[in-house]
Amino acid sequence: MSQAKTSDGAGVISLPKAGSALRMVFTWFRQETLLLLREPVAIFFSLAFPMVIYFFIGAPYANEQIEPGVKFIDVMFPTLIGTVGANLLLMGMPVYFAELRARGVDRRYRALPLPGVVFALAIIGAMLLLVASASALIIAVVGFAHGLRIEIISPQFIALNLMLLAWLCAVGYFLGSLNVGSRTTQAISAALFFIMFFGSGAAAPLEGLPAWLQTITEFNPLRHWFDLLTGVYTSAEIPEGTVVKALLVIPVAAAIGFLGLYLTKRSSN
Amino acid sequence: MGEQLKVIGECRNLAKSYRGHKAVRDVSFRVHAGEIVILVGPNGSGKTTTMEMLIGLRKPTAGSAVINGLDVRPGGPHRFAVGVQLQQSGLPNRLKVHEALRAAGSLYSSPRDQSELLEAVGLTNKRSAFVDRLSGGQQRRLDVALACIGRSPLLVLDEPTSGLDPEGRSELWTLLKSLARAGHGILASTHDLAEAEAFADRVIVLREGEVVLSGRVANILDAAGGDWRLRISDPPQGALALIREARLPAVNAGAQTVVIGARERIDVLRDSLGDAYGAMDILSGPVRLEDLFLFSKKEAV
Repeated sequence: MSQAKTSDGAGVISLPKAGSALRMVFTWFRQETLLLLREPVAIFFSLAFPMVIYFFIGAPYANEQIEPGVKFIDVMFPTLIGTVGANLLLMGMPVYFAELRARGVDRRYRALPLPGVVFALAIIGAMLLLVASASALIIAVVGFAHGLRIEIISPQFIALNLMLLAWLCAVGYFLGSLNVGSRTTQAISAALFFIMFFGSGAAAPLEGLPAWLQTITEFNPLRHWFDLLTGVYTSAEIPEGTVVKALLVIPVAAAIGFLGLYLTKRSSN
Repeated sequence: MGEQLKVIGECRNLAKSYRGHKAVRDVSFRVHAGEIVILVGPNGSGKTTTMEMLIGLRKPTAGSAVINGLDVRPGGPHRFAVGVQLQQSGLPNRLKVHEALRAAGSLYSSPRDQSELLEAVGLTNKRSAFVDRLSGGQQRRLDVALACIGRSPLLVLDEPTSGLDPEGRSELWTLLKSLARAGHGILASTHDLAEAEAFADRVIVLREGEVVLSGRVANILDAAGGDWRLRISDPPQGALALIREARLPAVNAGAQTVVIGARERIDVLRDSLGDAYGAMDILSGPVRLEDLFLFSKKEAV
């Protein structure tokens, strides 16, 4: 290369080297976080929506005893935390990806030497930061108003919350990889989120629903995960089969996530 | 181009078909360090598809591409060697100009200085503006700045001057010329033949996915069969007969007929046409790429 010259004798440009991986991840994480914070819908659904649920449904009945030693807010608290992740990852993430596609940003990023793993870490990191902030707000409000159970720091409860986020992330990514317009993605992800949310028992008890609808909710993974998280948080006996049904979601979500990766790769050709 | 010049980008028999439609057919060319090559052709001639295959955004149906000695494949390491400005690509709308540059710059070990780059493209006062608040021309200039930030040896710019006013175009070409002088190879596209003629070291003219003319502008013009041309709008049949009798290269393009030849012979033909048919809409002048482009249609008089 050093022998080569341009027409006017100038040396040719040498091949640029990649920047430091840490700097890349930090810079893109900061960018994605700023973009998320500048998105009013993301802020509403992650920070405000769970608080709305808390103030209108949780707070009025918070101190009612459900079982000995277990208050209504203890049953609701894990679902409030879970709702934040479900909101952002099932609705926010797909819509964001669809918008990147609609604006041709994905094409720009594919032309850049941007490693996929850096972009993935940046987006997931930004989403998790918002989930953590919203969860911190819920923990602070509920803790201050009603007190928290010691199980909040149990490794089992924390691990289950992280697993919930992981599978929601895979499903959200799959929805975002569907090659449809951003409006359609918005409709699909909102429909999925609200059906899963209302069918999970987080907003109202499922016992009041017609039997056929209760049967359908058996196929709602969020219901089993909320049951599991609530059971662990309140140290209650977990209904038979709930653990299996909840854990079954992990391989299914992994497969869906890989399908999303395949769809992304296919559409880029 | 001498042998010693480094080939920075190369298309080798690239072809692309979509459901039987051949968008690009057997396109081959090289871009050397320090030169500006302009792909020129009307909309739908295959410029964008060719460029996107060269940079690995589109998979060719046949052929291959190489950038800086690296085989081009989607997501491959060749991306460090090429700065890209695409026609149909945006940025997240809540991103600020300096943030976009910072993110792109972080991918390289020694990116260009942001302030110098913004000054070069005339966006210094837009540093903190949201990208969706920029005008079309400003967005185009930001795209070019983003393409340049990594100091990549090859720049591939798809219609970089589209949406720019004449002053903006001139400033941008000045910047691209200076980058070429510094050793970058530049492949740009335009549908404006006059622009290609003014700024290209070499042009590659595409029509319906095929290269119809290629080479240094001066060489192409020299090989045209004359240095002067007549453009006659809507000539009557008798005028066409006179043109045929003159035995000069001539072509019909829509309502226009273009004749090329030595200036003296063109002047004689113009006078004959004037004498025989009075006031006709005739334009004579030096041969331009635009005229030769019409000849590539091969619709003889």
